[in-house]
Amino acid sequence: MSHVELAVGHRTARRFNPATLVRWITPVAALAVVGALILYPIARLLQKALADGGAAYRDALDVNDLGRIVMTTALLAVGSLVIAMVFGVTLGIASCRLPYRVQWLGTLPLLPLVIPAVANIVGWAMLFSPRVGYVNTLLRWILRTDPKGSGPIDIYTTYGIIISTGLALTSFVYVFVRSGLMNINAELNDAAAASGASPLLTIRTITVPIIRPALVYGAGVALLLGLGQFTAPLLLGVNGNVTVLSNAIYQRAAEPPIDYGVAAALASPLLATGIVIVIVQRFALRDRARYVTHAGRSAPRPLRPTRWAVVPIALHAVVAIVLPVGALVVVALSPFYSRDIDMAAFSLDNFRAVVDDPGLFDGIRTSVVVSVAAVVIVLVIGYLVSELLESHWLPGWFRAALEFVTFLPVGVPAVVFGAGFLFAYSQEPVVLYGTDTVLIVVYVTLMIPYATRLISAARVSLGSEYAAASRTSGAGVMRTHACVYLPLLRPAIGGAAGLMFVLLTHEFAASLLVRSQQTQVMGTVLYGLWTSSSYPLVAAMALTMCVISAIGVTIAMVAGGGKSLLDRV
Amino acid sequence: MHKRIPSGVLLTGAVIAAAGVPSTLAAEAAPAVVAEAVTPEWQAVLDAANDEGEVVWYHVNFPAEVERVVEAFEAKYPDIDVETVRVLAEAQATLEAEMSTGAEGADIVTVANRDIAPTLRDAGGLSPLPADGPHLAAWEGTDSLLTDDTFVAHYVLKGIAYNTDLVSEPLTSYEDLLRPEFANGQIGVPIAKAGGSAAFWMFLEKHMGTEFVEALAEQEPRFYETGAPMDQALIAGEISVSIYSGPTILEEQANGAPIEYVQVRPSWGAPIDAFGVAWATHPNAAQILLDYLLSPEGQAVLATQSAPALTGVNGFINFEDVDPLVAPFAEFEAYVEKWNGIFGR
Repeated sequence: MSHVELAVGHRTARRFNPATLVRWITPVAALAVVGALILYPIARLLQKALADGGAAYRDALDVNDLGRIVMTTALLAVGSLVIAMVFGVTLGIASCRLPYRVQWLGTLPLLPLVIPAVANIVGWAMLFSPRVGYVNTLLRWILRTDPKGSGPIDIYTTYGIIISTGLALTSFVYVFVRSGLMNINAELNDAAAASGASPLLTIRTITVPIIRPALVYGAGVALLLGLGQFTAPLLLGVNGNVTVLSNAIYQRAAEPPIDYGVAAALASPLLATGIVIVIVQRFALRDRARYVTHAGRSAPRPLRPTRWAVVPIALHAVVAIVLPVGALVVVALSPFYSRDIDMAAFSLDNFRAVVDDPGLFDGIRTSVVVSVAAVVIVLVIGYLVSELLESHWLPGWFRAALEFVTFLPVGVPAVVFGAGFLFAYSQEPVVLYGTDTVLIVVYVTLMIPYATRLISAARVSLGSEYAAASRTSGAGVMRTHACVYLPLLRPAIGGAAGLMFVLLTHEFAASLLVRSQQTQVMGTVLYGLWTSSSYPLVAAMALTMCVISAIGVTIAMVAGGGKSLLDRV
Repeated sequence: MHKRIPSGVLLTGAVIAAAGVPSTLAAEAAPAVVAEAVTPEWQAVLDAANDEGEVVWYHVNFPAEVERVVEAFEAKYPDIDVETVRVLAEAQATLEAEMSTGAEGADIVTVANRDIAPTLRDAGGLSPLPADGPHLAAWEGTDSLLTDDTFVAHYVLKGIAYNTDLVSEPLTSYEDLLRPEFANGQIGVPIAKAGGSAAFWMFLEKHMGTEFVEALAEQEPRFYETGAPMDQALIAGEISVSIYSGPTILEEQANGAPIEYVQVRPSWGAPIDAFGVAWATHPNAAQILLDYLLSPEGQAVLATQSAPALTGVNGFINFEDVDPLVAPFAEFEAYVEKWNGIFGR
């Protein structure tokens, strides 16, 4: 017996049907698999934290300066979120209004993701170190101040960390916002204009509400990443005594005396915050029907292009890409790191040293193979989960539980998740330690929220009318997805694949703990160089990683397509 | 508790010619003048090691240090390849995971974290040192032979380095750090950590006094997590002086960096503990490599830019000039609190 799905929100009473039982297999299996992947390591970690009557929580309260650490964490997260949202939304809107001939510029805001976090921060340090930073040296020359003095900008401060973190998170927000904006129907804006609304009023009352899912999801991810930010405080915060929770967690998980229980206890606020954010998101987006922009009558028209859209994108590219990458190139070509740029001393020696390193090719091979495998698997999971979240026949509590579990990994710092993976997969019943399989499992787990969110943000805008039309035409479920939804979601899937490939090839916090010592990935190779080697070698390795990531992203974006099929109609 | 050395073992009588104490990169390792005598038991270990063909060495050393040792070892034992793996702060976690899962990994380990060996020992994870080998006996009764399964391989040195473009009058002692020209962020110092640099700060306080450390705090130094970024800041000129650099910075000098290095005496050196693991895939090759590190030749090669753990061996500086300041871990933790108070952190 089949049931025709009517317009959104319509339910009919029905008797028990064995087909209903069969219908529940997929969602229950999806919840079980996702739940097992995500909750099992967290459970093993909490087991450590709660051992001995929760002694770890009592010990966590004795951490030196805990109150200041928590306040700094919150300040860093909120400050970087504000920067990321302002820049991310601006760039997202600008990219959707680029003239046709320069639409390729829409990929520029994504390029900072291609730069490994360690290298990005080192690049900022080379630019804004108070005494020898290239930009500071130039500013002192312009301002006619003491050339051997200090400042005017100091990257090793709280505001320096907030700005560098905010710029890094901008690309994440941009990915979500652009994905949502790509499905806006310009007819809505035209209707508002015809009714007398100004452009600003249109943006405020039409555009922003429609892209609310993308804003909510993007803000949620950016906030949680800001709360769990690790690299910038680690590299830049020591001098100014800027310490955040992720640093305190890492110290307990990696430095003697090691205490995984306290590390897990310190991570609990971040985990709790992740849960709250998921709940807030569910509440903010409870009526998904109002975000549907694809009507059955016609394809959505893109926003009207303007040449001014190039300006914010170009400015962001200069600040977030050209400057730090330029600093890395200069240092990579130099025999040692110096304030003075001596082009006569430039050589490729550092790149040759990187290429000659036997660990490098092992790291590249392992990173690419494991990352590609993980991306393929998690795209399937993400597509399935996002589809289930849009299935109105499923009870709200089930979808809420599925969404909650899916989003959890973002709320857990990677270094803590790494410890959880170590406990989970180095002991019975599941022993995967020392194999490449454990890396794939870990990477899939870490990327489930990203895949789901990115696909879901685009899926929300499609609504259920396409499925209704397809079923009415006689197509089954599989054919509807293959011929209708997948082509429409292709850009979002391609974007998700590109983003996840970059994140995984740069990943090192979780990889450090769970990989066998003889298995190198690119992130651990780079981090190892930073702890023991010179900045020129770090810069050369970072640039090599950028090239590899860029190749992977390009392949993913080409496979995803620059436009959906309907955009070409 | 030390294992009784079996009778009939002939001790090596290698004599290392003194080559002076260099202030440049390499200290010459004088060749052994007496051939080593090999017992039948040790020959059997060597034959088995050759059959294994490989040994995996987890270490925390700088790559150049390890490469020198590997080159010299493989020249002496051409049938045994050495695979080196530089481990980071997570070494303890992964060694425990290897032990519990039986995953293939380390054969021998050299680490600065002194918590690792006792933890593994309590779980039966360490293998005995090569008692059948020709070199362990020379370590009997020395402070560097910690137990019958662990010894100090060498000491990673720290000294003063300064940027010659910014400092006109050379530094020769820690007292020079209190010159007015080095105030306001010109000095780079490590933050005190119980598992590492706290011992350095305690050494400084022991030899220079608490007043010196407090006066150094008043110079408003810049803080760094580890030595590598501090060295990079020094080379670039972000700071003028570093008090936590090591002889390896001389490699940057060879690249043209405007720095000079001073090995103040007495010197602080971080002890690097060495041991073999019970789950080793190549247990015999591990014994051969450990014996090599115990030998005067191995010590000299390993200590080219550090201090050996054996007297009578010339390294960058000699063993007698090192004060590692060994203390219970609780003392380091207590000192970190005191240090935070002095430096306002």
